[in-house]
Amino acid sequence: MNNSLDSKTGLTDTLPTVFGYIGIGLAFGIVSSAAHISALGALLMALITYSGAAQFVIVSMFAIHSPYLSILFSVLMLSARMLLTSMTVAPYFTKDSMRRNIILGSLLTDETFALSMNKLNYTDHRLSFQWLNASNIFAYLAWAAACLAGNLLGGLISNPEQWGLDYALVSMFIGLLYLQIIGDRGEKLGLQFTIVGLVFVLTYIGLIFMPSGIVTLVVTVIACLFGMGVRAHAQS
Amino acid sequence: MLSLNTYLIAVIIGTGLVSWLCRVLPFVLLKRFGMPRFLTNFLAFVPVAIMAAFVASNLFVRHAGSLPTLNVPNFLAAIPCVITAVLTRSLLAIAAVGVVTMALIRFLM
Repeated sequence: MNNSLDSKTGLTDTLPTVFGYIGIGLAFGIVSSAAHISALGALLMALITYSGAAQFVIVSMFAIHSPYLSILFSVLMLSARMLLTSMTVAPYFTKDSMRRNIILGSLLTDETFALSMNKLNYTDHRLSFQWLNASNIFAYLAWAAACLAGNLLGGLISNPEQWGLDYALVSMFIGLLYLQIIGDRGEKLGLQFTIVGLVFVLTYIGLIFMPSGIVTLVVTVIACLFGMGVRAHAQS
Repeated sequence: MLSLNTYLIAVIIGTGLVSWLCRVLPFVLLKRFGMPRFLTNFLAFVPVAIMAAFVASNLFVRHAGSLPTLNVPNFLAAIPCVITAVLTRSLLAIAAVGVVTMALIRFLM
C-alpha cells in the first residue's frame, strides 16, 4: 500500500482482500443452491442485500419458512454495526457532494471499511472518492460473481467448508487487524493492545447473552468508550 | 430452478433496504449536520475495536445461555495467520495461509 489515492490504486489495494470475499461468496452460493434458491435469487441477494452475514442468515431462515418480519429484524441486527463503520468513514468525505456520499455509503462493506482505515496510515489521513469508489465497486462485482458462481457450482461441490474457503474472511480480518495496530501511529501501542484484549474478553462474555451480530456492535461501543476514557484521563 | 418466488423477492428487497439504510444514513447525516467533537474522539477507536470484534466472534462458539467454547479449528488456523502477518504484512499471503491451514485441519480432524 502507498499514498496514491487514484482509482487504479483503489483496485490494486483491494485485490488481495477480494480473495476473502470470493471464498465466502462461493460458500454462500453453494449453501444457497442447497437451500433450493435459484441462481437468479442468489445473484439478486448478492446485488441487493449485499451483506455476507445477512445472506447466510436469510438462506437459513428462508429454509425454515421464518416470518418476514423476523428475517428483516435479524438482518437489521446484523447490519446495525454498519452504522458505526459508515460513521467512521463518512467524515473523510464531508467535502464531497451528497451524491458522492450516497454512492460511497451504498457500497461500503466491512472489508472496504477496514481497507480504508489501513489506507489512512499511508496517506496522512486522507481518502478520496476515486480510491474508495473503485475499491467498493471491485468488491461489489467480485462478491456478486462469486455468489453466482457458487450457486451454479452448488450441484458439484456439496461441502465448501472442506476446502477451508470460508476461513479466507477470518484470516483476512486477522491481517487487517494486525496492519491496523502496527500502522496507526495516532494511538499508543499499549492502548491498542488493551482495547484488543478488552474486546476479546467482552466478546466472550457477550456471547453468553447475545447473538454474535449484536455482540460485535455492543462490544465495539464499550471498547471505544473505554478508549475515550483512557485518553481523556491521560490528557487531564 | 430459474424461477423466483415472490416471497424471496420481498425478502431480498426488504433486507436490501435495511442494510442500505444502515450504510448510507451516517454518510447523509454527517454530510448534512457535521460532526460533534465527542463523536470524533469516539470514532478514533472504532477501527481497531470493530476489527478485533470480528476476529473474536469467530474464535468462539456460542451456546445460548451458557459459556461460549473455543472454536478450536478457527483458533488453530489463526496462529499461522498471525505469524504470516508479522513476517510478510501481506493480506494475500495471510488469507492464503489461512485457507490452506483450515483445509488441512478439516482434513485431519
